Amino acid sequence: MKVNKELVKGSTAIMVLSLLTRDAMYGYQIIKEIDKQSGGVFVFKEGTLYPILHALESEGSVESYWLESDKGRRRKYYQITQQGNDQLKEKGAEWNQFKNAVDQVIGGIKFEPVPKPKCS
Amino acid sequence: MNLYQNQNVVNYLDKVCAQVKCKEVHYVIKTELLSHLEERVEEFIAKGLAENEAIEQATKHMGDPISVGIQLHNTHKPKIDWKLIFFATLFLGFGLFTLYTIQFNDLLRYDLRVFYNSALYVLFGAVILVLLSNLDYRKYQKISSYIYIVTIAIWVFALIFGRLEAGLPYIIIGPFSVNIAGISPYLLTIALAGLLTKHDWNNRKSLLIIWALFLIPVILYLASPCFSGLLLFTSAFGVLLYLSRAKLYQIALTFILPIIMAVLAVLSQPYRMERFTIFLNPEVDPGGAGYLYIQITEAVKAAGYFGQGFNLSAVPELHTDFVFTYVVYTFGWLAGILLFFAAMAFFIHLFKVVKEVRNQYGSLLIGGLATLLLVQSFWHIFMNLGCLPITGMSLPFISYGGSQVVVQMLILGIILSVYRLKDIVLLNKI
Repeated sequence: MKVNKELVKGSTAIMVLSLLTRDAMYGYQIIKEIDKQSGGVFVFKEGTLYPILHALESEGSVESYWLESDKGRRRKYYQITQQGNDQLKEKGAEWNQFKNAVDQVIGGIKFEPVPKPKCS
Repeated sequence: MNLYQNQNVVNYLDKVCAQVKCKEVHYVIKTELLSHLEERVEEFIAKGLAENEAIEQATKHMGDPISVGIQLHNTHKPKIDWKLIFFATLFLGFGLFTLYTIQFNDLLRYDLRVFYNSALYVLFGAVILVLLSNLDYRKYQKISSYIYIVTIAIWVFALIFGRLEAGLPYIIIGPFSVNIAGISPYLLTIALAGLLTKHDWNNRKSLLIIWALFLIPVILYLASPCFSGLLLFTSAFGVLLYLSRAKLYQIALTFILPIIMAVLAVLSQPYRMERFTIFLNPEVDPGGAGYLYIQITEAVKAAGYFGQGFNLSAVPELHTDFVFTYVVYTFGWLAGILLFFAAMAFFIHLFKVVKEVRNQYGSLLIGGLATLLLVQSFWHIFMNLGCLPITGMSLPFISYGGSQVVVQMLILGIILSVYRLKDIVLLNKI
């Protein structure tokens, strides 16, 4: 299934923030998590995650720290801040509103069931 | 899996960073993306791909390096403080205009081409400003302790072997004579900003070191003696303590000793007390210590809203310590008020920036330096209105300052360099 690019971009920040409410994660881990939880719908270019993470860090929604893995690999972990939590609530509410509005508009139309997307 | 030497990976990372103008973040970006690529490649190899193919697939998954780089650049764009540039141009321009009117109306008691000289110094200062604003200010932090030690050493040397000019110790370097007490507040503030960054205020032993770092200059200021320098240094030090998150009682404790010393110094020599309080009541000694105060107050009173024109002759040093009196007398009260509010707006802006800067060293550095400019400006203004004791304080950017203007523009360069990286959180993170 193809999802509109802009839609993905706008929602990635919200997804990242909500993933981080559970635990601090590094970039690769976030990609894996999104891939797993969305059932492979969100296959975006992995590099584009970092500008989003850095922008969130710049505005103070997340904080970061470096840790070394057992294999000596340096990983940059991101952790949500209070401001990030507030932002998530706000954006999440906006998102729900948007989702409901879309549901209401297209709710009357009956669609053929979409086949489950394959992992790429 | 170590890929930092793999040519394809290096090419990819270089292409990303080529888009990111802010060089200071390249290393952090490369480290983070490299770590990601390595994990991806390991996973592909585990799935049975050959290493070369795995690397190719991994970079493909990352996406176009140029578009990733452009997006990163947009997040880490260097910033230019246009407001500061606007105010600096305004003050320097007005200063040159004022000096022009002084020079071409022959208002000085001796022959000095204040306008021409100042224009040259401002040009020279502008070059330094542009150079410094593009440097990475974090490099100064490493040499903080050297700046401190060298400043103190030169100062002590000047006190013992230097030449006295107008009662202050000067050191002669080739054709230049340097007023070490005069420029010490700037040097010490730059040094102490570095030394106080990330200071552990719970450690008692280190508290003693901070006290020593403060008291050594205080003693030298009293020995010089240089009251204006002492005032500037002490204010900047207070702001540095505050910004480095010292506790309130620690700030109070730090200042008690020098206050006691100053009081004792004044009490032990009553003439100092007289010099200090004469501004409250200059009529007591109208021919002596009170003379200048009476002249200034009269000039200011006579000014009117639109000024008296180019004929102020009763006040000496119009181009330096009394330039604000000159401005008010010549161009009137309105000009004085406008200049005062412009200065207020400038400093409000500077301290907003101090709060916005993420890096603690950057914040301390420009907080301390802005304090020096602030105290000097407002002391000058109130002294020129006869409301504060007269001491050597010129008005930054406006007075004829020679090398001082260059130092002030150097400070602006440092502030611009901190502002350039102010939103960038990737600094000093690995």
